[in-house]
Amino acid sequence: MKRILFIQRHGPHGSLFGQETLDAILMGSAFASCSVLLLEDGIYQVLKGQDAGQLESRDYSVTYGALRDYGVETIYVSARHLAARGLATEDLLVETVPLDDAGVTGLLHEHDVILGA
Amino acid sequence: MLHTVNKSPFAGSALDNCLAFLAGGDEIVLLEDGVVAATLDIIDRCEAPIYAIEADVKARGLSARLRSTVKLIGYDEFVNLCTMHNSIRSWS
Amino acid sequence: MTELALSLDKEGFLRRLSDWSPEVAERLAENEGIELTEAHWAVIHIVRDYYARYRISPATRVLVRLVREKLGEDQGRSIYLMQLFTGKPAKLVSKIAGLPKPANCD
Repeated sequence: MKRILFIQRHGPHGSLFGQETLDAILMGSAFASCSVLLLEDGIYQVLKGQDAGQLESRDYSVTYGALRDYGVETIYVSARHLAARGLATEDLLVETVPLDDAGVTGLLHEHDVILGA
Repeated sequence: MLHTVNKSPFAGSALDNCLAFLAGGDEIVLLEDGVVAATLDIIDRCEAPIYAIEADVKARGLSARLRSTVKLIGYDEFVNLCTMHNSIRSWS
Repeated sequence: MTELALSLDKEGFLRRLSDWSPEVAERLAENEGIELTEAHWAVIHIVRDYYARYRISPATRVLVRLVREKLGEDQGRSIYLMQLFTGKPAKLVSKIAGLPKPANCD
């Protein structure tokens, strides 16, 4: 089975990248073994307490909680990018595995396909 | 002049440029992904008043993380600010 | 039952999730030639609960597992769900439950 790594680099609501990547993860999980890596502002995708009620945008952050049901193995996060934003893994809606830069490099090399905007 | 910033400070130089070219009497409105800056200490030393659009802050779950110098505003107050200034510079 | 026209997309999904009610579900099911029984409702509730929690309609394989966990082994099979909701259970149950189409089904 192919191993796919989806990289999420964009914050939520400001563009459609986040939602499109999430849709791709849900689709990809049907036929491949998938993991997710949150880099840069992609970390904000899973920040707790999002409320998009006042925007013309769907609050899809909670959908990350369903990824386990879809067979997504692990959600990784760059520890450096997390710290740069003053955040900790406890601030995130889902369980994540923080990686240092060497860990991210290793992760990229472990996967057959890497997708994400 | 009213400055607006709609990009995250991690995703480009919009905020850097805005902060670099401020003059007395200028004010800043953070909107869309620009509201990320409202949670970071890089804006603490900015002397101009800084506002952030509340709907954008709430949508991103950033309400509890705002720096003390940031004031939340609604779209109506944003329109007021636009009319109070003779010119508007959008940094994106 | 009111006979107000429902606002549906071209595939027959409700455009506004807030338009849904049990009566609307009966009508949506009728459009598909299905008469809702308690067995259908048990599945509809599971799917609506899942949506309330995760803002997503479950894909077939997720639905099968959810139904197995909540209702038991005999119900937690694709064949059972296909009999209740014709050939495409995940798509049809989401439609009748007034939810968006699951992400990975055409």
